[in-house]
Amino acid sequence: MSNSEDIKLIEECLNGESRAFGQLVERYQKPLFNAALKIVNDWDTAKDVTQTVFIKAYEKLDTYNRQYKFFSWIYRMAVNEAINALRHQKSNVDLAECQLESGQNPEKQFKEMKTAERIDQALANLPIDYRMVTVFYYFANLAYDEISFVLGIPEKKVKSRLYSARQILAKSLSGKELAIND
Amino acid sequence: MISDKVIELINRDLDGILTEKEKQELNRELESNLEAREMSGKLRLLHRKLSEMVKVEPPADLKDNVMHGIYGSRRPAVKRENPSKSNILDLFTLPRFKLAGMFALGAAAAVLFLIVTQKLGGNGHVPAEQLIGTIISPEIAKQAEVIEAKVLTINNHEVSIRTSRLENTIIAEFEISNEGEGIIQIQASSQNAENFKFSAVKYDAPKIIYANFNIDSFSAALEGAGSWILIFEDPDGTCKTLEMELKSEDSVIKEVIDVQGKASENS
Repeated sequence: MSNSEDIKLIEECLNGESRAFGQLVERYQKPLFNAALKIVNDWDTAKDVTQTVFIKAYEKLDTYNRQYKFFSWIYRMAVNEAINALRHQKSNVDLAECQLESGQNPEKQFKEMKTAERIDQALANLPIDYRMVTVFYYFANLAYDEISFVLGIPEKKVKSRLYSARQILAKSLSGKELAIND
Repeated sequence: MISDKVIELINRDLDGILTEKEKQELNRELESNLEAREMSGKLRLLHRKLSEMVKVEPPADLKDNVMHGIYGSRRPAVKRENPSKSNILDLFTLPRFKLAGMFALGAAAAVLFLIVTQKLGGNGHVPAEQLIGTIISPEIAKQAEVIEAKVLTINNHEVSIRTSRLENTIIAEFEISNEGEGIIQIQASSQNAENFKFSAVKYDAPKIIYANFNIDSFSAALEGAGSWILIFEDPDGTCKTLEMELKSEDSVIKEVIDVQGKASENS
């Protein structure tokens, strides 16, 4: 999914072909939803955040600056939406429930689920600034310079936050918890 | 004791950006420092677990919800090719364009405005065409149950208006015969700004316009019923309005009101 392909779809949207936006949604709904889910730690809130981000992106499509990648631009919006959502968040759900996959050994699946649950919990306990960096690095697969743009902070700070986040997570999770399925 | 320098080397190693020289430096440190070795092993394991965590599938209805939302979105994602010309989207931002007068036309507590304007191209007399295009797909529109269909002549344009229902969505369809290749815009608004969503679409090519409104989105304002007013604006700014009363089970074209004069004078 190149940015030139995204720009072509954006052009179509701007020319009145709203359906082209559907292809952009298809491309980015999964990484965006996963990032939102890890940040807000709640399925319904993550869904709301993702939907709102896409709708706002559509509404502001004529202001999109092509020098940036489209997905970086929507992640940037997602940050604000997620922060707003966190302020109003009421309850969490067990994210691990959403991560079951069929066709696996049930015992292995259970252990993986438990590991994921512990990591999710540790992630949720990270300070929000560290959590954002970690989520965009691991769950949106953004590079340092892209995270720098999305969060509006220098690249150096992105690295230092990620390094700190890793240490906090490593300390909060025992080696046994991490190695449970190895 | 682990120095900051070693922590950074371990992290850079995880990112795969260590130089050969830095790798050797890190290996020497790990061989001689048990604490650093343990931390390195733990960070490596964490890094792998985080990288391998399953990415969940987004909710199945997410895309549909987004697409539904953008059809009723507040602002258009359209190019404005000639902003100097009259633009109905801007009319609502003009202080002289008093919405209150329009709202008075509807008896319902909440009023939904739907505005269609048409601009004729160049000489204004190119071969007759129909305005054809979609905001929602025709396939979806075809599945809808027709509630009301009517043909009216407004400002010398023959306008076919059809409203239909698909589950909780009301679809308003306009087919406007056109003598020229024009631009058509559509806008909707409700009295309750909190519940207000509108579509605004400008087409350069002839189109049929489908606008869909989720009844649930307006339930707080409309309570299942309301009025729509269509305003047709000719290039010289002359308007005619058509008021539609929308009820929960049907839609009734109520009245055609001829409003002579400029749109901005509709107060």
